[in-house]
Amino acid sequence: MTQREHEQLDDERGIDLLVDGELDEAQRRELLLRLENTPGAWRRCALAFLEAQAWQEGSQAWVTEPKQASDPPVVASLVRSSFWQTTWGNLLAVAASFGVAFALGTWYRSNDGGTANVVVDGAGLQTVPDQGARLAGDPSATPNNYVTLVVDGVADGESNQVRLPVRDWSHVQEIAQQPAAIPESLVEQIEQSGHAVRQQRQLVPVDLQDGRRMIVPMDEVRIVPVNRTFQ
Amino acid sequence: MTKSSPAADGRAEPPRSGAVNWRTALAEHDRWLRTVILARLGERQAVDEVLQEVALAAIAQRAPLEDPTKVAPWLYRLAVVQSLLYRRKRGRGRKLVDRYIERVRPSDSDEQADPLAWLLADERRRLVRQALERLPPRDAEILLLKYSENWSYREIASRLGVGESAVEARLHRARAKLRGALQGTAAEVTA
Repeated sequence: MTQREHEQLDDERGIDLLVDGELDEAQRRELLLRLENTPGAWRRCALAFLEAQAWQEGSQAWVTEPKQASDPPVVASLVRSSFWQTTWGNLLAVAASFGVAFALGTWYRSNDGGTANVVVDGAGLQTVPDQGARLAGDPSATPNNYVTLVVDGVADGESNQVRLPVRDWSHVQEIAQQPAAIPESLVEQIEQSGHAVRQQRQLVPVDLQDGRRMIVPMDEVRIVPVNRTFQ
Repeated sequence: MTKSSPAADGRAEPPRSGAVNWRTALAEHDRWLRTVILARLGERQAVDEVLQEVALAAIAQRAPLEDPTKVAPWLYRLAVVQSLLYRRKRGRGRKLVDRYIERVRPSDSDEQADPLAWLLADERRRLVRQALERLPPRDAEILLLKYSENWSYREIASRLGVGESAVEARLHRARAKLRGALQGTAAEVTA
């Protein structure tokens, strides 16, 4: 690197520090005098200020960008492109008023994903184990209401809106005990055809417009050929 | 909120004199930790989930906080670790995306490029965002902390638990990459 390039690099670094307000008085004065004696330096300095201004705007917009809102009657929008499959089974939701506790659960199928079974209640967080039991047929689990979720990545000809029952927080334990989205018999068939089935369960938090929060439990299923499972 | 006792598994409890109210601490640091996680993952929908894991890990104290006066850098490391765990959990699909990002990642050699072209663009805010998304997560993180939080080097250093000179060096490298990325993004838009 030539002496001139070194000086230019120093100037650029100095300009960045100047823009950031990180120079003390002596350093600031020295830099300004150097810029005065360097052709094109003031232009670079002005551009650095404009850059910082634009970066600030862009960064703040990215960080503070509101979550995707929804229009009535749709209360939430989940965007998981390419992850959704066409079959919707075991759809279930749980919700309750936020003052005491609030959670909403939905089971759906997908071909990729991770797992976590965390439920948000009014007081904080707690983990709900998957015990593999059944909710179906339980009369106390009658839904209180329904919500419509919009999903992305649904195959052609399929609706991308899914109407889900909303259930009370008190049923959350039963929700967590729902069986996996794919029946074991189907899993066996898939595995016999030379594929590995990876099922994971996770909860997706969705903030409602009225400030409440839903938790949407999801079963995600990934089917891969056995000979491609090595890393 | 379920709280577990750090002493239950035989580990030493943090000093009583500096006991941390995690609810308050997590609320206080929520905003910038979200920024860190967003920068690390680039997925807005993942931020809540990872932040929940951070909260659980903080409360569980599996790696106990040694110095209660250094809650911020400790939470920062937790956020980074949990972000990495999340990325690992996402698996192969994520790796494909990362490899693509790596391919299109700008290099430092673009740092001399003139920014006037993208500064004149009507959609410069979107260009900045796209460029930030192309950066390595660590670079995007330091830039977001600088420009979205409007923190001084000293403030960033205290949160991340590093020296101010390290912050300056990281910012310098990250800015060079951002400039390169902006040149590339602007060129794509105007092509």
